[in-house]
Amino acid sequence: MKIVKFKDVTRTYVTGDHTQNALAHVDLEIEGGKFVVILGPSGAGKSTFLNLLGGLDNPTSGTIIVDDTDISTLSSDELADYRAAKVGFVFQSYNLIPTLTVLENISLVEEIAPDHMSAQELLTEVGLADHAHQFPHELSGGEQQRVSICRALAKNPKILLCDEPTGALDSETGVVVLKLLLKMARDYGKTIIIVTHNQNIAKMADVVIHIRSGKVTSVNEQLHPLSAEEVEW
Amino acid sequence: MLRRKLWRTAKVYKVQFISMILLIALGIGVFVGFNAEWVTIGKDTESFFRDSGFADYRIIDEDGISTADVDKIRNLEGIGGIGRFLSVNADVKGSNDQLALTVTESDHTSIFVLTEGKEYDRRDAEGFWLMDKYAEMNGISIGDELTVTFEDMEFTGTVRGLIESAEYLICVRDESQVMPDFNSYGYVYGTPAMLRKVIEQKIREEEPDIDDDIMSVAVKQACDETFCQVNIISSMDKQEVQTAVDKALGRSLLILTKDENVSYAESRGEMNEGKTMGAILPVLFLAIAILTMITTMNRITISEKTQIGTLKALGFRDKRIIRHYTSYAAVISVIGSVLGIAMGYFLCRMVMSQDGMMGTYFVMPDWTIHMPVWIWAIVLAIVILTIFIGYLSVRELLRGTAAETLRPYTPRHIHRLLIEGTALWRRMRFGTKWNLRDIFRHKSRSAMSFIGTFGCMLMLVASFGINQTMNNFLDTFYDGTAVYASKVFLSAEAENEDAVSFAEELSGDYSASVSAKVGDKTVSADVYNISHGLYRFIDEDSNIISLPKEGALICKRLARDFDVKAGDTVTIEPYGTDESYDILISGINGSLTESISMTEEYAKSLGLTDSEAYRINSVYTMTGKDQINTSSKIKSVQSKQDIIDSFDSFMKIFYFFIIVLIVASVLLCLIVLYNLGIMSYMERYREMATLKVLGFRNKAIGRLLISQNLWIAMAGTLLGIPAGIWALNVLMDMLAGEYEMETMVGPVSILPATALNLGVAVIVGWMISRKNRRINMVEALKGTE
Repeated sequence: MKIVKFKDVTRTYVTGDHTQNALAHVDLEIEGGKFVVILGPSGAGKSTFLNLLGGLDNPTSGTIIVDDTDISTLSSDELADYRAAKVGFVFQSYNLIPTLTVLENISLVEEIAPDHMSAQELLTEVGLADHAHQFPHELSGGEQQRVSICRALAKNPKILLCDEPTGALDSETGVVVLKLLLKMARDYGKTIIIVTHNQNIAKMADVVIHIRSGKVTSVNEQLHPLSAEEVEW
Repeated sequence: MLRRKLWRTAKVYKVQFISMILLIALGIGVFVGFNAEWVTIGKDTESFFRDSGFADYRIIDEDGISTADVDKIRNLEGIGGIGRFLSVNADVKGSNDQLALTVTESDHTSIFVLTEGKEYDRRDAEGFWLMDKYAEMNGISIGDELTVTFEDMEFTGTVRGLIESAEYLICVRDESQVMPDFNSYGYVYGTPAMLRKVIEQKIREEEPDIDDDIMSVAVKQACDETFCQVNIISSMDKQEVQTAVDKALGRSLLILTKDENVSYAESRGEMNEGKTMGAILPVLFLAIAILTMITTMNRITISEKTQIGTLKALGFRDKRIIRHYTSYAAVISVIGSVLGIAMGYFLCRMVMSQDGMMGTYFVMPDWTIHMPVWIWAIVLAIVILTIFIGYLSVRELLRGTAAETLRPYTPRHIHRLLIEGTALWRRMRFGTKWNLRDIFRHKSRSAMSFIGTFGCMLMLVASFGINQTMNNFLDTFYDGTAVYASKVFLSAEAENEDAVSFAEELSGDYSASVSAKVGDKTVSADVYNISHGLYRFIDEDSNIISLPKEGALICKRLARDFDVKAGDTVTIEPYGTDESYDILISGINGSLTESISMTEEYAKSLGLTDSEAYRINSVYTMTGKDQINTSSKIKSVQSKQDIIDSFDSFMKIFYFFIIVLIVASVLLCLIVLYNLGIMSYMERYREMATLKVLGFRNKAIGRLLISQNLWIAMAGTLLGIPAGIWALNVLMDMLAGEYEMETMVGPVSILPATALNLGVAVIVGWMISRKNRRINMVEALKGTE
């Protein structure tokens, strides 16, 4: 079942007299439950794709259908509800709330997500149960990213969107985080879409999408993706 | 190039820059306005007193003062100026107006300042020098003829000049008038030559064939009897003057100091009132403005950290960077100070000008606004302090290497709060926890928000409290003590028997005010006959009481000054007599005037009613003002409403300052909260973007923002209430010499103050919360923390 459908989606940014198509007439469909990696050089439009899919931004034209909902026509509040229920974000810079503890950072989504998961259980699963009452600054980068993944999963979303999730981590920690992402996605049946320019991560993906100059240049399915340990970092 | 950066950065932080400029302007404006007012009153009236030879002492003898007496006093050591002085209320022919007809025998003592026309000439028997404001209101010009009558004497002359005299700085007819009415009452200076001419005419009318030599003697004698007062300028103290004059003349005369003159006493009273008002609240106001400004300046510098790092990395020397960033503080403080001084000047000008509020009370020629050196020094110190804070903030950031400075600023790490782990904490929603921790994480910002709302609440409670206290004070006297509908002021022609029968005719009560000396202080010993209950008394706590049958009530101020309590005895010496009376103090009362009050029976038992000084001068009646027929025995009739209106008009300046304080406090609260709210918004921008990405709606994020502001505002408001009451008490203690007021702060003061303070917090919160709609989630979450 296609969980994401991009139909002739264009996103144009206008700065003064300068107009730039970050995405131009993109048509794309993504199968549910897959591990998708979007590759492309800087400025190719990867993040724009992720932002549009995540409901952080609106397309200039075209239609985006996620889980049978056309999100390109949603109001600001409806988009907020969409983000609360359907998608989880993992950022390169974690974006944890510094004034909330690890557990609180995860459980705060309980206030908005209708079908949320147990924060404590998720923490136990990622091996951070002992850190539940620590503040983000008391954790390492890898640990913070694990908390961020927990927070994204706690909403019990259908899709997990990750923007360079290992970009700020050393390769060893990066592997741990990727393994965790993969495990969680498989265990909970989530669709994971990772945007990166790290070619090695692509080796783990079910589907690899290449974007260049705002256009999807290729969509390749990998029948035998490698595990995180098998990838040479 | 850096200069260009300065202006562009100012544009980026325009809200903070504008608010800092407004804060300084408001702080300095209120401070300068309040303080320049009393300094200006002091200096302008002082120069007026000096220029018109205002007398230090008034020596009075009802039987008259001869030229020989004057010579004896003149020869005393320490006498700087002397002149016999006459001031009587004379009727203006052809109108119902009155003028204080004044004659002075000196060219330098108790004279006037000429505003237009010819200089004063004592030998001019046809010349009048008329108060300019009265002339203006009545269309009288130089060269016009004027006739005034006093008793059976008619003074006719030509207006030679228009004048202003410090003797009549506050130009009121008598004690019955609180505010001047330049349309119907003023003053005119005649000359000794004119007085002699009028006396001569009168004598000649009575004895047409009188011999010239005899006439000369008769005129001199009449003049000696007419001049009952001699005014002197002397640096001696009252006791020295009293001793020297008594010895020189061989008799004891009533000597009044300038403090006992209404113009001098009231102008000093206004000055002291202004000084008191300016000493507490505007200083606090300025302090809040400066503190908020410093916090904002520091925050702006911190948010420029990476830019500072960039400049450093580019090779700019630390000194150059410091100069650049301190110039922000310099520009803000200089612009703010200039605006503040202009605002203060404007505020002061609204009060202190011929057309301003004080212009309806004082008549004086010079209304120059004075800003003493210390005001300039404080303004300069504020500018220096601001620049210094700017310097410290930049220097702190420049301490490390360029690489360290290039890293974005990260606020201090959060520490656990004491209540964490408690059941209460566990029950809190995440927003509450977030806000609580954020408050403690950004302590200076939170502290400033608290100080801002606390300080504003303090000022609002104090300002509304002053208003309530003053209204209560007036209500207590006008509704509590004054039961009558009209008060009749009797003229000197009315004998005591006339007064009693007049009171019976009007079914009224009456009183006599005996001016007496207690120690070296002049007090009014008021004797009342209250048979209709038209005048009542209040005790120290504003409860209605009756006059004691035995003994007298002494007002709070006198009780404090003389350090007396119930059971003590006070000796009064009525002026114009050699008598003294021992008054038993039975209690202390609240009073508008410095007085000792007793019943007629008690005064009789002392023999005071037999004294020459005992003259019934007021009758209180329920008869309406319009139904009381005028007669030569009635000086004036005032309805209770007239008296209230007159006092309200007198209080206008006081109320003006209260309104300025309330408006300025609300503005200060608005600017402080908006400024700090915007800062909070900017500092939490990334966190709010994260919440938005997670799926929180704009309203929910807005509520988070508002609630932090509201909590702090509520804490500030709650603690501001007792602080405001405390400040009001301090203020009232300082004004105790002026008024006998019981501090009154009730819901009438607290509710509007709370509504204003919290209202401002809600409005500011709403304004800021609307901003989160514009949070760009994509932009906000780029980069690293």
